[in-house]
Amino acid sequence: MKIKKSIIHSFLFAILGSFIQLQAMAQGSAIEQASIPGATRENPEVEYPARDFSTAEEHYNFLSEQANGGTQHTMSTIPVWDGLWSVGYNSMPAIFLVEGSMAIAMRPGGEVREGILTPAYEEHFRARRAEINENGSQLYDRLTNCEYPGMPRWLWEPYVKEFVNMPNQSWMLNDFMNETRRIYINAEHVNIDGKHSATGDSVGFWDNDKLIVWTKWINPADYLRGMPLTSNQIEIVETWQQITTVEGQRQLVTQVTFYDPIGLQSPQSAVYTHTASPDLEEFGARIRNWECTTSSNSFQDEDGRTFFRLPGDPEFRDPRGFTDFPDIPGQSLNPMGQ
Amino acid sequence: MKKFIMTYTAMIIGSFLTLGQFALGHHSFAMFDNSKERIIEGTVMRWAFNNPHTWLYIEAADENGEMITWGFEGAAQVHAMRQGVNGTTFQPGERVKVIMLPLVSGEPAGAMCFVQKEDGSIARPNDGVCDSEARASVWQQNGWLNSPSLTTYDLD
Repeated sequence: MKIKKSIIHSFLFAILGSFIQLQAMAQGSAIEQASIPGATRENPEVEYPARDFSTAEEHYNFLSEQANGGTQHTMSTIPVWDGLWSVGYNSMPAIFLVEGSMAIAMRPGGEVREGILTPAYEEHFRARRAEINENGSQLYDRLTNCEYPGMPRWLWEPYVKEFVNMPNQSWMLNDFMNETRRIYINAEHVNIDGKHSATGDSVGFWDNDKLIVWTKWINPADYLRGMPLTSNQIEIVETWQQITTVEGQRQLVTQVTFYDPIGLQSPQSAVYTHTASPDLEEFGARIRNWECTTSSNSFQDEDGRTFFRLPGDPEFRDPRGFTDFPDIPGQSLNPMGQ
Repeated sequence: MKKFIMTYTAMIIGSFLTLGQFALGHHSFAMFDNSKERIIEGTVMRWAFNNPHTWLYIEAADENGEMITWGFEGAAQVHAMRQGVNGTTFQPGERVKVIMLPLVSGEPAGAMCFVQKEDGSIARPNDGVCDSEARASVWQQNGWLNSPSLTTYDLD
């Protein structure tokens, strides 16, 4: 009985702590935003497409027609999503795991949902989950070798983001692996590179305060560590909207549909959120892009797991002292005198 | 012990309720032995407040009494800041006690859980591999922070 009380107290303490943090983050916004009744910071519902679409293009064109070609904003009318943002809720793990959530997405547990992925992708996903169950964690992640996570993993990665909307482009900046998405407004897809990229090619249009985005030509990657692979044919339709939750929190809600004819048996939808984070600004945080030089002390060892090169290893790179020119003054990554 | 483990589990699960506050490293944590915590006392050599991970390097004795460099991985900058840590938290030359989850290989490195500074204050630059607030409380309550350097506590 004492144990049960202890657990209950711990849960209550954690829940209380969470709400205190949320309240602390819920600071006033200078921007007028529509308040969506019933919306909460943590659990917006997935909004599925109005009907089934076989391709992202078909879905995107339908939304464009619904919006009569879209809203042509000017700099004075375009929605402003200023400040620093952090990721919040996302429902993506529930696509692939029975009762899936972020609490188990990268951790042991969870039952793979059948019939969602194509056979080759489901087989790989089952093997990945088995590895997590056996070792407590996925042994190796592409980030170890500074491979870009790209889309759709970009939508959740838990670091610092900024969003800049302009009439002809929207920029979505993430300190994570220096990944910046550019959304070309009222434009056609262009690929003079003849290849795919981590974040793909994104076009979009505005439907009043909603930004609709269609992304294609994305490198094959993962939905997330612990989640399935995506194929090089994935295309994604997103609808972004800033809301103010009932708690007073500025939130970006992104309704997403994945079209992956190689990896998925049928299109799948999820919702992701970002929350405005004035606490980061109060700390003095500014986006500092990742220095892959310092993360490249990570490597994949002979057992297939992520490991580190340590001081004394000839290949170790001192994260503050590293330089290719040690004999020239002022060349180390050490301006603070350490 | 069962009570401790269940309480700890409950606190970890509870912490996930604050979804926007996740602190998960950019890479897998499979290299760390999360069944153990170890205290290492030494002198700060370098504090690298870097993305994607912060690193604290200290000079401390190994099992043979030889002074060597130990490295401890912490959270990305944004997560460390949310836990009250920034680029000036540690200074070269200061004495610290690092409580960490050791590498499974046994090499002189690990995942920082929390750090006790010379004035007794606790700094929490840890990544999601450890609930530093809860663990610091456990270590303080048990008096483990006075343990000799290299002492290891088994969490099982």
